[in-house]
Amino acid sequence: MVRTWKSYLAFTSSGYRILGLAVLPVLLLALTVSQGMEAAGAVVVCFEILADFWLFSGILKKETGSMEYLKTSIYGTDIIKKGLVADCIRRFVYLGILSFAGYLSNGRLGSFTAGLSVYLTVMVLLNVSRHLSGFMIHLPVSYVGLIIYCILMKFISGTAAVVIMSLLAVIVSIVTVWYAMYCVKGSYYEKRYDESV
Amino acid sequence: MEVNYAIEASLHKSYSKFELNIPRLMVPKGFATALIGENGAGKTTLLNILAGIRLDYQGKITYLGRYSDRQREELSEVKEKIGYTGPGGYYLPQWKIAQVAQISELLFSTFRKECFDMWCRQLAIGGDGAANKRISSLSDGNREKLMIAGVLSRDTEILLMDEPASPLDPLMRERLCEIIRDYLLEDEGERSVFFSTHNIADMEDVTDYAIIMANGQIAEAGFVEDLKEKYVYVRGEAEDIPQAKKTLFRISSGKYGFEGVCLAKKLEQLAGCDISLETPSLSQISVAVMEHSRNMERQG
Amino acid sequence: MKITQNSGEPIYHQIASQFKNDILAGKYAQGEYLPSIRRLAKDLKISVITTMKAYEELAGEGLVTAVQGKGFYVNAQDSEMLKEQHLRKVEASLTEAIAAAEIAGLTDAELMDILQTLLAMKEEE
Repeated sequence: MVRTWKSYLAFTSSGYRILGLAVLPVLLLALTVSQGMEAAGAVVVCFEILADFWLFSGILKKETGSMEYLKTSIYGTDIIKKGLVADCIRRFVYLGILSFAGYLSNGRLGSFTAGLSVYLTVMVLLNVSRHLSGFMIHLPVSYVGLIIYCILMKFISGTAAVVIMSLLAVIVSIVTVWYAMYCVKGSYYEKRYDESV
Repeated sequence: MEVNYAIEASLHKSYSKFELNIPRLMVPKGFATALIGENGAGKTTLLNILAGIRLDYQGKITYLGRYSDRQREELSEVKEKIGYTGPGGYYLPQWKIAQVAQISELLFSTFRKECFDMWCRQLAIGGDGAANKRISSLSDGNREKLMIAGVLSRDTEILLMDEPASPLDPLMRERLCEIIRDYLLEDEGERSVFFSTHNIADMEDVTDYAIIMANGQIAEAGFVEDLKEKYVYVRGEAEDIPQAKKTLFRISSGKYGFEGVCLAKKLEQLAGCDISLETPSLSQISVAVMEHSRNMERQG
Repeated sequence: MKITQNSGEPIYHQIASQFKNDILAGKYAQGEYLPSIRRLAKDLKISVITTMKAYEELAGEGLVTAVQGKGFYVNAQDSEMLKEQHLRKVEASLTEAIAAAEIAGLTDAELMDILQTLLAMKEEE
């Protein structure tokens, strides 16, 4: 367990820990309490997708010319896996906290739908943004995230939705980590000839 | 002279346009071995395979006389003993130098942060506030130094370095040679260094064993002192150029005469010519062998 | 220890010669270990194989003995062998001098003169 969190933290810099894990999350919590989860969720979607740039951007690249340092250790892929798992848990727990805070402040069940919508939107889109490195990719992806979130919020509601989305959240998390492992392990095998031989 | 091997391998890998074909690779233990070849000769592919970064190949590898490449993937101790530096991305560009240390602690059980910090200071990586510098903001030279600092902060027995001298300035290249000598000295005879270069002149003073690669194959290999007896550098007169062209591996000729490298045992073919002989440098031998290889390839 | 890179004489041979002189001059005790090949390579800033070859040359001449895992130690040098080694050196140097004198067109008498002058100069030191 300790190693899982250590792996996650290794992907964070000291600046990120202050801003991304403390200051901004607290601010967003305040926003949720004042405006409700449904509204705050839109901001959280963008925040989560953009913040991921400093953590796992470029991790799903298939070419052999990246992250060699991790590959020179037998624990390399394991650390990535643990980091991603910790990331899923952190995100789920954080959104849970936000949802509860929203629910407590305005009593609407929609808080939980919102929280789960954020989770699903972000998780699916991160699988896209992590394929490329560069902050510029995360911006358009976060816009897409915003749109998807709004669509979800418009059409989905009710207790049944919450249950289904919770299940989906678990499935999407598992698939995300599995897919990441698939990409990382695949990068040990290069099918095309690259010039830097 | 009794020689043990740090690495022995037999490897094969084909792409659509290129083939790596090495029936027997031997890297002696306790010495610094240079892998010499032009860009495109297959050096990076070979080092990637040996470091365990690339798994798509046929053949087998034996490390330190006792670990197979299968064991390298199963036992943690094999990769712990190997320190690799290379020209690819290597790190995630968004990492800060401080994170490199944290990640290293998770990756390698013998990594020591105090050692890493000392090396970062000694090699002047990033200057003040280095710990907060991002990888993407480092120059190629600083990144190379960082990789070197990383492998030197662990207990390893083999260093695999892909073109370590290329991004470094001349002063730092000499420092690298010093670092290699210190590394070999530390555990007298138990440690080995295997580095690649496309310009051997920079690293000639530290090279004990040379492997010259061309077109995905090993064209020549041997201890430097032995190679310097196998080949000889010949200078002669213009009138003997036709005869010289048949004997020499590589020849440059003009109206004042010719000079080039040839096999010592072929010297008798130049008997009667007015020639002077010199011990060739490793650089001259490499260029001659590589060019000869290219000509052979062309004739097919 | 001084080595010249481009003198035409292989570096390992230069090293071996200088160690040989020191050993024959008695600078090393019998049984004393020479610096390790890697230590010497570091100090001289050359490759390990060069120092190794130098030591192997010394071993070949019977001046040192190799011990697996420990290095090379100096053999006992008896004074007869010492004398013989130096005698051969004198002969070689004089042969060289004679050849040079011939090229310069000196007569035997002129050559003898030079030798006596040099000996006299050495006496004064």
